[in-house]
Amino acid sequence: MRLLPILALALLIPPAFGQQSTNSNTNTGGRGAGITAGSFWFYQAFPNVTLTGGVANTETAMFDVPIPANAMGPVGILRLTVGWTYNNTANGKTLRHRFSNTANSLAGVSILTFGGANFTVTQGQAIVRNANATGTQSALVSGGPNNYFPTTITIVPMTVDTTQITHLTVTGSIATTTDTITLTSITVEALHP
Amino acid sequence: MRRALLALALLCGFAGGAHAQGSYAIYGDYPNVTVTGTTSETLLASVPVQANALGVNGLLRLTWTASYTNSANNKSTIFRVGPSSGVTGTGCVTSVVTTTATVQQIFFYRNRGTASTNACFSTLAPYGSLTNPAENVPNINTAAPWFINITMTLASAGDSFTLNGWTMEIINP
Repeated sequence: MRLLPILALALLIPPAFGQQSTNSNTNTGGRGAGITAGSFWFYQAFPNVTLTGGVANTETAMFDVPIPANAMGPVGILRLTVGWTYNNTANGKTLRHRFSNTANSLAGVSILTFGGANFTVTQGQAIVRNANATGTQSALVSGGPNNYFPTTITIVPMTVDTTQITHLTVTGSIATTTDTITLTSITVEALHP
Repeated sequence: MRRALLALALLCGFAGGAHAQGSYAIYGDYPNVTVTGTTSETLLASVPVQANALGVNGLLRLTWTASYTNSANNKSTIFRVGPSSGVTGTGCVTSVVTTTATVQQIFFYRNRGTASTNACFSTLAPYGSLTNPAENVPNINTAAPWFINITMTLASAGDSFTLNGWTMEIINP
């Protein structure tokens, strides 16, 4: 019986996996690290969904990933990693990855856009960052699959309500209907500090 | 039965420590802090890391985004690591930007088998960069609390540089 209080106390201590620390440091020039308990959510799939035929130059929803409400928090990020294959032609192919509150929407801001002309495979990654609010985001959208470098583009603002279910909608557009583009893999991570 | 309960209690207690094998932790902030009007090295953000949060074979990955004046003048971001907060610590990586307007990059920091043997590349190019960067080995003691101090030095006081947000992941195998 004497062990029961010890056991109860130990069970109150959360496990280290996925655990966050707290730190109230405030430093000149920065706001300090506003660290609170957080979580990590991810989705991963190999859809192998292909777009071909149809109407030329018409954006079409190919795949949609719903993201749980509050997965990001006010300073969290969403990190998208995708793999694509296509037939190697000079014809225009446009791949977009739109972020919104609506499934299969073509209206959301594309956080990762690139073309697939004259290539056969692409791996791309992009980040959406909540900007101190759950309904305000920013993203560096370079226009290519690599978004980690200095660029002259401006950061894209967004106003998606992340306290509700959000969606990453993958779309494709082909200039020549005999071409094919295939979303082979997709990983979506929500990091909630 | 008592032994089993005691073992379970101790296991749960130890698991509550700052680091366990197979752990993953996320930290982040959106300071949106700006440096302008000075050419002195100035602190943008000081990111604290708990003692032993980075395991002996752990990886720290810090992703950050910034916006700044598009000018020919150097704007140098330095990632310093050390036991204190402020414009202090060993300079690990320097990223210089000029005639661009925004940047997103990743800072990697790894322990190499011990808590005080660690390294980073001197370039912030995250992947696929076939350059010849020197590897910096600050070898700070990660068994004690330490800081990543992100600073900015403007070559021209008339420019400005804003650190929008950062996200830090600590991955311990």
